[in-house]
Amino acid sequence: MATGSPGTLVRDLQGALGAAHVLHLPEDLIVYEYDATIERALPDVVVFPATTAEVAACVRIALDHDVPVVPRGSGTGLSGGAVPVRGGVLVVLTRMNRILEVDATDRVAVVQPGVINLALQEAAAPLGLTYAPDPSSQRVCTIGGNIANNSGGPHTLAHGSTVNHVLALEVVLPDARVVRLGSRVPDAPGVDLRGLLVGSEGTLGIVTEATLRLVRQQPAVRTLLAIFESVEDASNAVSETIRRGVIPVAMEMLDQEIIRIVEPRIRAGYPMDAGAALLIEVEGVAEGVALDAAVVEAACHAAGAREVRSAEEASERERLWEGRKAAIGAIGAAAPAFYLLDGVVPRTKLPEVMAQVMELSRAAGFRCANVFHAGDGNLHPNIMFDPAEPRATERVLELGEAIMRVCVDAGGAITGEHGVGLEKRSYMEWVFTPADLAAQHAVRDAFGSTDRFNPCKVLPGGHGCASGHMKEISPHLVEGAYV
Amino acid sequence: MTAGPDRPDATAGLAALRRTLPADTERAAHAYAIEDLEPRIAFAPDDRAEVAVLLRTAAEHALTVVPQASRTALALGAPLEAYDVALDLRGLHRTMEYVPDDLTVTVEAGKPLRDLQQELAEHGQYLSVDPPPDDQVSVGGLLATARGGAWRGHLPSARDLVLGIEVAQPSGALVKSGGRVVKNVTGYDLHRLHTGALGAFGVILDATFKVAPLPVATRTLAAAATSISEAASVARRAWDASLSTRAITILAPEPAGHVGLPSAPTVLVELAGSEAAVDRSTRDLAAFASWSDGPAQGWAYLRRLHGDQAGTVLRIGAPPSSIATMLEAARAAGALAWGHLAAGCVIAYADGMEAHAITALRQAAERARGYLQVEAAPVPIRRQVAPGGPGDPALVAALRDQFDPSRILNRGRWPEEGRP
Amino acid sequence: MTLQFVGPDIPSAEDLANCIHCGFCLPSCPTYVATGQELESPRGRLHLISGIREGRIAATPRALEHLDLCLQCRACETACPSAVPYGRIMEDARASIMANPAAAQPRGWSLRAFALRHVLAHPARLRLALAAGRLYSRSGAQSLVRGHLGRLLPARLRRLESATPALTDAPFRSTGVLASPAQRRERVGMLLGCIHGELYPRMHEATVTALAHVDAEVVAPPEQVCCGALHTHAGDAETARALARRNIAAFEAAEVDAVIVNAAGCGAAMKEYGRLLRHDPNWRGRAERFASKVRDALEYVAGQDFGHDLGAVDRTVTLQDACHLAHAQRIREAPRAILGAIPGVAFTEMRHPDRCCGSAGIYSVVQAEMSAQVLETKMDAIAATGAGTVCTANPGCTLQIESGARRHEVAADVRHVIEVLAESIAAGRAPVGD
Repeated sequence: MATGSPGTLVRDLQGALGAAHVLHLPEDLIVYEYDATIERALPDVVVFPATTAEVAACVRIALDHDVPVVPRGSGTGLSGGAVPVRGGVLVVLTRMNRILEVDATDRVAVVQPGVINLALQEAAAPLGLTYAPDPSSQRVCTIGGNIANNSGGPHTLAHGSTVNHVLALEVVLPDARVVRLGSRVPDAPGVDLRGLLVGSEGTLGIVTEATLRLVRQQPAVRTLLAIFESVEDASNAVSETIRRGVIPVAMEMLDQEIIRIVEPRIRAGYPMDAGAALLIEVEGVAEGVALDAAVVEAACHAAGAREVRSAEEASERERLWEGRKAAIGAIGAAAPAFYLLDGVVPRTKLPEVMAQVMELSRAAGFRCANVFHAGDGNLHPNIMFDPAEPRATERVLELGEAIMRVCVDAGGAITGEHGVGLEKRSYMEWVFTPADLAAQHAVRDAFGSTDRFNPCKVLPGGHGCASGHMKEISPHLVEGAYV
Repeated sequence: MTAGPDRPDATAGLAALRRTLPADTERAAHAYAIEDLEPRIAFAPDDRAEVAVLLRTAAEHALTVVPQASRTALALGAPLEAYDVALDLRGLHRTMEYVPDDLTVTVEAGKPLRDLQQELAEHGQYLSVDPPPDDQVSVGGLLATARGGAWRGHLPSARDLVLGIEVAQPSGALVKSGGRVVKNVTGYDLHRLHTGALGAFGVILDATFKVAPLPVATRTLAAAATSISEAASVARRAWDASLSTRAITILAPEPAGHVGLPSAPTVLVELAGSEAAVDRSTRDLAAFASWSDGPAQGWAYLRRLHGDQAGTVLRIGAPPSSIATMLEAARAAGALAWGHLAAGCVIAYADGMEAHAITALRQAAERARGYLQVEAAPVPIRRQVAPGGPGDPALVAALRDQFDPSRILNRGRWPEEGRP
Repeated sequence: MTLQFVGPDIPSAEDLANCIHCGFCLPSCPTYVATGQELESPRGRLHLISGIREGRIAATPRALEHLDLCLQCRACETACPSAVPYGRIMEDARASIMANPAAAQPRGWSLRAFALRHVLAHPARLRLALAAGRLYSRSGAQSLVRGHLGRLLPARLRRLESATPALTDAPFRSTGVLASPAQRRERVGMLLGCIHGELYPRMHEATVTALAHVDAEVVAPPEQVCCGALHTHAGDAETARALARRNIAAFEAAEVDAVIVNAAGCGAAMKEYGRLLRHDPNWRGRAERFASKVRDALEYVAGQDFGHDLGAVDRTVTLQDACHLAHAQRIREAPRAILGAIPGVAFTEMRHPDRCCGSAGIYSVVQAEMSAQVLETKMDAIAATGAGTVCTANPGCTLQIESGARRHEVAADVRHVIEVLAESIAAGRAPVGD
């Protein structure tokens, strides 16, 4: 797709950034062909800009050479968003990793996109503040990636996704123009382009600086672990809790399969014979927390909980959370490969949808482990398989598709927090009409990014893109790959 | 006065509208005047397909359309430049889906917030917003203006609570974005683009919101201070104590007097939550100020004043560290002023204010890394002082070229350089 | 001539397939933290290895440099939720490069293997080399250089000089029965190591004291040799196997219940002798039996009744987890349990105690720049604790942190945990009122 000689592209980029910050040899490029999905595609060149001006220069050079631009942070995305499917310039933002300001008075942080999510939390903590979005990959994922994917996490239930915590952005647009959107103070007048940029998966621009809202750490926090005989009972406990007027800050479900995988490895204290476990957190003023915890406990018992444990000590709470945060990865050790889904359904549909997920998996002959944000109705079925078995990968993808159908039919959506990326582009047609999609394409056209800025992501179609259907990708699956 | 000189095809356009829309949806145009403009024609469809047809027909004939329902924010944005068709959306007032256990509700745009809140209250829930001037505000208006009140900063705002919308575009297309689930990153968040856009890209038909349990107990407390800066520091301590607060507002002496309190700088706090949490918060507040039961109706008064369309209302965005300074500045400019600490805004109300005074306040706000939005002012003032603030005009124009190329929607609200 | 993976140790597809590319290892990797480059991350290196294995990329000097820059600290294994056996994959990859004909091997790699093969594996040659060092230390030249004179040295030389330990004590070369307590509970064999007794005789002495304290008879079979860990890390699997066979035979002959190792790197390697000799049907079973008897000295002592008759030791202590103890052997509690039981010890954790100090065997010599960068972060963490004593569990770490303390002017005494325990045992024996 690229015109002009790649040699001059590399030379121009080296001129802008210095040779040390431009990679172009095959043995260097190969480690920039992936994110945390199965998708693989080599960039033509990888650049490590250190400033907004350098990012703009890279975008400008790519524009001049008419090659795609794809932004990348730590490469932990779960939808193929950072995979340069049409080659081009991969803009890696890990060098832009400075926390520029943490202002406790205004409860605001200003960061570069390469800052690690947890690093910001650690910087805010001594001031009694926190950055609320906490994806499970927070030890490694970058704020830029969080913004691109509008990342969630267990605490989204109460605190909302990334978009609710982004006040302002500095963005390099596809035409290399640098703009500032939003303001340090919320609800800036004017059209909210900030809200549009968040979650646009790097297709509308590259964020080079973000002003983020910090929230005060709550005076009291309690984590409860409720043990159930079945996922259905646990799902009912979620609705029962909310019916009783309490919205915990997190309600995380682990099913039996995942408990049996995680517990021996992490030793978080989940009973091995549990049918399902709910990890619930409440926070606020001490009296309120005690009351909310009592309501949660009663709701769980009413829904048939076998046992409800409560932890207030930070170390105990951390241990309970440890198992949750390491769960997805632990599946990697339990099966040769697995396919992680990210569907979302109305919370009240959880019991029936989960029953269908399990039935479909059984019928297809695969083990399926579930660990997910029950309070948000955000499912993460993990289908375990051995790619060495005949047609296994193909059958897994079919099963994944069937599960996503169930989610959509239940009034849900195809991604709650991982993003559409490359993987789920074709499913967009299940959720949106051609007119809906035309409006989204129109946004892309308005930003001048069509086919050049992170091409073949989010929206179906696009010049030079495969149709994006998982089934068509499957022949390229690497053996043993995690999907 | 009627908008603009008669154009050759206006008559044809009006005839086309009358042909395509049911006769019983037409209304008397004079009832829809906005400021000094009266539309040529008015319709009140009760069906979204009719809205789409109206827009497409209007676009074909280059007729400008002004969507509206409760008409509570007509002075927001720059003055209208043209106004051919009034589109009254009050006919779209159904609740399409409400699942209390999901904490989600989907309602049509013309529904007044009051009606929605009543339905939700039956299930012990509410939409946690307090826009000016009161709950007359329609759901569509709530989103198109994205205005909040004292709760902003303590509770999520309309911007945060909207999960999905459907809009009608000037092309006649009906377009959805988002969905009905509380967490969703499927596709671009067009619903955020429309939120606060003053109808620049389409007419909102319905919206899905995340709702919340109604607090069991609420309590309003007031503490007087000797100066605005002292009031600000009391407010600050209340905020830092992480209590069950739903509002922390600093009142200059004048508005304090208006809500029945002594005319002194005052901190007005609203607590909301369980009885236990409210009681505990009340005790904790007592540690650093002397509180008395505040006038609960004070909040409604402030909301009404903020939403007054006849006066001059400024919303001054100011970081919490600058709230007191901006409050003093607004007061010095002759305004009734109060500040919502957590929202980072000062509301200034005056019967009238000179353009230069507004500009001076804006400059002060921008120095404090904030902004100023004119929320209401007489037309001549809004012609002199741009109502908006930051944003990227080129991107907004490019988006409008996509969605409303002939600029039939609310023409003039977002002035564009080089465009008539 | 192009290099590829050859020989019996080619990294296995199953091992590599465990990696799900989640990236959780990135922040645990000292070289990724230092560079921010995927190429210097565990995930990136695994992908490079896969790429070479599948023939997608050539094993160019540039690609191998990334493998070489790995500290093999195995912190990524602790961080990995998918249990990728990273250390083993890296060892296999290096061995499969070194299995190429000598002429094709990267020059640096073959030189290094040559040096390791001909020095470490041969005690006599090693002692000769160290004798020169000892002369330097004892003559007083070292203290002169470390005083005012040192400022005249160029930076690079000064750094190299500061990495040299002070060889003032008489080396520990005793073999045979080293301790026979009255109440003999068990008979344990002790690994003396290639360089350990030469550099840090006091660690061996302390280990013997501690073992005797828990009623173990201690023997050091005279036929034992270097454990081969450094050879394995450098890809010289054949030399490592030869050394392993000799050690297995030596300790079998000594008829011991356990093999005690006070160097975490050696212990980790010896616990993996079974895998090292997996291709050798004559030795595989013996190697596995031997490996099952290997215990780190701290692991062993902490598992016995060591808390009796301890005297007070007045030290403020922080602990540097030896990578090959914490990550490879997964032993974190034992050193803390021992320090916690010693009266008088005030213990403070440093930030990231299990992050590598940059020693990593011979890494500090062959990758001096990266090593220094990693060490700098470590010294900051140590300084922040204000501890007067830095405890370690590995001579390499001791050497590296001593050098860091000199270079960064951190006044800290660097001791193996077992030395502090031995001090306490000695203090417990001292007559009251002394």
